[in-house]
Amino acid sequence: MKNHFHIIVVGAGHAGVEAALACSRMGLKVLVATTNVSRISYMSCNPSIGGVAKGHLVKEIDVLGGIMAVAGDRACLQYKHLNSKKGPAVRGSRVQCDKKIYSQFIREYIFQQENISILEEEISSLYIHSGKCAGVIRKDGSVLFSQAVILTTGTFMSAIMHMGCRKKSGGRIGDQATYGLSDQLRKLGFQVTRLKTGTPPRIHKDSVCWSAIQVQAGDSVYRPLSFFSPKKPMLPSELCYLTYTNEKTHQVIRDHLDLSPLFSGAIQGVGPRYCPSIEDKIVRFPDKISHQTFLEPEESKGSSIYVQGLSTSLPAFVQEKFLRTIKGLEKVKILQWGYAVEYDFINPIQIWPTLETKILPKLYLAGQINGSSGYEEAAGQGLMAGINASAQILDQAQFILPRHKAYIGVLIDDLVTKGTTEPYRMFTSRAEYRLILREDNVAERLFPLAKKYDLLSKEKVKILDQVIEQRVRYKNQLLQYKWHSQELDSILSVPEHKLWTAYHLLKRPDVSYKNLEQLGVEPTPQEIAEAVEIEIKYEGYIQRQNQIVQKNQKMGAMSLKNINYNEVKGLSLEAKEKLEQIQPLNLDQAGRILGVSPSAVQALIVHVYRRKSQPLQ
Amino acid sequence: MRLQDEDTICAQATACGMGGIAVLRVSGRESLKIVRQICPFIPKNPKSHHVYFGSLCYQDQIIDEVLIIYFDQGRSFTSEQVVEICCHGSPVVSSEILHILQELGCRLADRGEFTYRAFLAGRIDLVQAENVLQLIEARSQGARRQALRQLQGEFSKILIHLQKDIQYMLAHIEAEIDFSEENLSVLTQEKHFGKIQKIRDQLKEMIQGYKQGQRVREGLKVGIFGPPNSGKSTLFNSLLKEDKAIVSSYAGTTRDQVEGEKFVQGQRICLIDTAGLRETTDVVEKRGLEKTFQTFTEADICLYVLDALFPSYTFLKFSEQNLKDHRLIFIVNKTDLKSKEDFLSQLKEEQQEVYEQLKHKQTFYISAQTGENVQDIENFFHEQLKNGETAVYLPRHYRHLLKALYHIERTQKLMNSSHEHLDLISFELKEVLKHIQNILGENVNVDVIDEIFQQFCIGK
Repeated sequence: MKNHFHIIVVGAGHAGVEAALACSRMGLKVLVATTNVSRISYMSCNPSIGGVAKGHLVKEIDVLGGIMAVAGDRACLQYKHLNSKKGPAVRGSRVQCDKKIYSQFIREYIFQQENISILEEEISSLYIHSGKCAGVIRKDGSVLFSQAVILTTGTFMSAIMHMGCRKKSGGRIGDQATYGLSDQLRKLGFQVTRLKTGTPPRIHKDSVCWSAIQVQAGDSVYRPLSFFSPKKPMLPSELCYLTYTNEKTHQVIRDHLDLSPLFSGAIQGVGPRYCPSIEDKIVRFPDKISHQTFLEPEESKGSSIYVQGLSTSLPAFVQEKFLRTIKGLEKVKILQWGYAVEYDFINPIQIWPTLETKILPKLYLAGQINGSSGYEEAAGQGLMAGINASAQILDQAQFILPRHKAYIGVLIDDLVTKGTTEPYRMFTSRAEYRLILREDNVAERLFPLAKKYDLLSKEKVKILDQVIEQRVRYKNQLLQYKWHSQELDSILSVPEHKLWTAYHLLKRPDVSYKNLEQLGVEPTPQEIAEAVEIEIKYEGYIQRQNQIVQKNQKMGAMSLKNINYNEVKGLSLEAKEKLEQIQPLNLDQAGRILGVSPSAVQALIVHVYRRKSQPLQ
Repeated sequence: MRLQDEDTICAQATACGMGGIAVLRVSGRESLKIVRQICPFIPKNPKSHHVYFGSLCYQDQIIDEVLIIYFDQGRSFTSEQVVEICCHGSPVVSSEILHILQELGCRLADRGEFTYRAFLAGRIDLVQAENVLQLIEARSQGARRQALRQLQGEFSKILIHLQKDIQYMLAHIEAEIDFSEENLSVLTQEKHFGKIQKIRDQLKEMIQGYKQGQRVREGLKVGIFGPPNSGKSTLFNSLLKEDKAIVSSYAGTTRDQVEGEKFVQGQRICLIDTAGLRETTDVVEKRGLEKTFQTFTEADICLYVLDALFPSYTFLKFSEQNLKDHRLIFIVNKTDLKSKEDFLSQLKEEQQEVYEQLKHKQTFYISAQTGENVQDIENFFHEQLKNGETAVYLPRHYRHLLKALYHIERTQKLMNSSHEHLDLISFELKEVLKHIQNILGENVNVDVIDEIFQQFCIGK
């Protein structure tokens, strides 16, 4: 193996894979180091891709050239459009996936890439040369050189698995933890602390009494995650099921709480509030007499069932005991016990919005190492780290997605500006510009940027060009159709109006594009018509959000580079400290830092203006 | 937080209160365009630093005769296009014009904003700039405290309550969006709707309250009430320091109302002397009594004058409700003829209930005849005016209340429609919250997510 690469990616999970592929698409030579080649792009926890807010992330990754959406479509066993009745901005696509096919698809794809090499080996140290990260050091002491390194270590750095009182080194069942890296990072000045996550037990398909529990079918209408996938699902669809815990379940858990590492104090790391273990739920919400439990297939041909909602780190015998109190699971056979993992992560305020670390140039971090949680969050960061690391090598402009353009932008900005104390998951409520960040307008939002940074193949550009063109054409066309109120009487009830165009009709909440087809408007594919309809219906709100964006962009245009915060008059000590630590790129970002008050921002404005009016000699 | 924004701003440039003239400054890109709408006499191409004279009109009504001074962009204090309006110095006139300017699209300037703009435009030097900065700094640190101090009493309590209600609702809505599959027991549509209706009513009430507060600032209306011959007119004259009302020792001398004007520290007080309250068959006197009750409902302060000599002959025709009215102030007159202690003990004997009432009310013991303690009443007026000035009812608050009402009504409309738009409902509610928090002087930082986790059991 040659020992010089443009970029070395450590880790081959959802972040690592997107990072490596992004670099490869930009024409760079990449080495991916992983401890277990058979676990490339492995779905360690739930068997689904997407969801509310996560669907947004996946679709953004798709338009920016990533692979997650395509792979999710390829492995789709069931499709759901969540929140379909709660407003277009908060709709989220989710697919249940065949885990095996998902990772196999990506593994094969990545092996086909000529400029990606795969190394199955643990990397325990970075190679640093003249203050920059210049490669990694192998176990035998030899150096692999590169111009940048992207760390995507997931839950593996100094990882400990917990089940009951048993503690074991390891980042995932069947995989070893990795050591050395976090010590080196700590010595370099990184703030390394612990987080915790957990996973529920997996059970055998044939041991469940399916007839006793509720069926959860997917949607009848299928909408692929990716613009570049076939319009029909490729695998036969599968069902999910729903059952509930009950008072007996809760009693078993309460009786054995002292055996849970969460409550015995054995686990120090902070777990995610949105993904608590079942023992957590029972302690924190004692009044709730029952909790939902979804049973989801992990593979279409396999026998493993994922028990969503029952993440736990109780000992095996307790897990079996409480599972068997649940309707449908009376005779359950467990394939894999639930467990908790504790792992190291880096305080993300120590990285730039490009995901390059502030302490060690040319070192990029993506995924759970930054305190995030979830496949989609990891993939989004991996993609951006890959693009930015490549851009730096190719001497291109850095690529930072603003908050009003993408959930990926919100995600990274939140992490690097505010840091996090629990595994960070994406929610739509984190996006202040939610109404203009929709799944349906992802192409309009990001395709121009993807083109500008040359992130897409010619074929993909062609497909997206077509999508945009079709939408514009359809929208314009709607202005051409005109009716008098009387002409509409038989089909729609609308108020008296001189002349109705199809466009104005569509603004009414009770009129959909399907009604227009009844009126003789040329039928258009659903995905085109739906997107245009939403844009027209939400026009007023979209304008209002855009106005706010414009106002804030002015703040974004005021650079805070090379500011000595000691010279700024009127800053509190706390604000000064935070600003020095985070080094915001501009005023807009500064305003979002916790501890930087509006008055501190005023002080910065004055300082910046003053500096501008007194140019350096 | 603001940069040099493009809003056109307005404010009174001279000190508030009574004065010969008041100067209102309008600065920003639209200033000439806006002012010309109410001052059509400004020529098409006005000359910089020139003065124009004419009538300021709004909606076909002449508001005042004014002088207009125009400054070209780049030649004014703020370096923006500036129009200054010199109007008559009554607070009524200047606040009216400021209201009109806001309706036409101006924003009321924040404190120090003209100076701030001047600095950003490079019109003032560093030392001055730092003073501005300190001003802004001091202001924002004190802002919350100050805002809260201004908002003492019911008003702020209601707002804080509204804020909590909206945050609670938002948490439920956001949980319903972001955790759609968690089967959470979120608020039902009906519950939301009930809360929204309540918020709307409260906002409306506060807006109504502003209009009343406005009246307070336009001049305090003080009515003098009481039984015949208790010395109402004597007090009236004593307060006015002139013999305007006819006084005699005969009961019922004042049959019609007499009004008089008085200024306390530059602010106007309108005093109204009313006919004494007694049973009567006289037609003229009956009319007078009707008027008295009318005045009672309209007045900002009601002075109820008691005759110290006849404690029991006091509350004829005055219902208990009226006695409990918070505007009612007791004046026990003729203390030169009977001491406070004697009066109280007699009252306690003869009118136990009234005596109890009196204990809970602000009461002044005076002699209108000798002028003893009359000054206390004047001081009391002054206090009231000061409270009215700093309390709730700043135009800024009014503006935010109106906007909050607008957005709550939109929320209601969205909820009424058969189409579910939780995304829009949440957007509108956040707007309402923003305006309420603006009045409270709080940073708009809605961490709904924290609230969600406190309330719901969520998790896969």
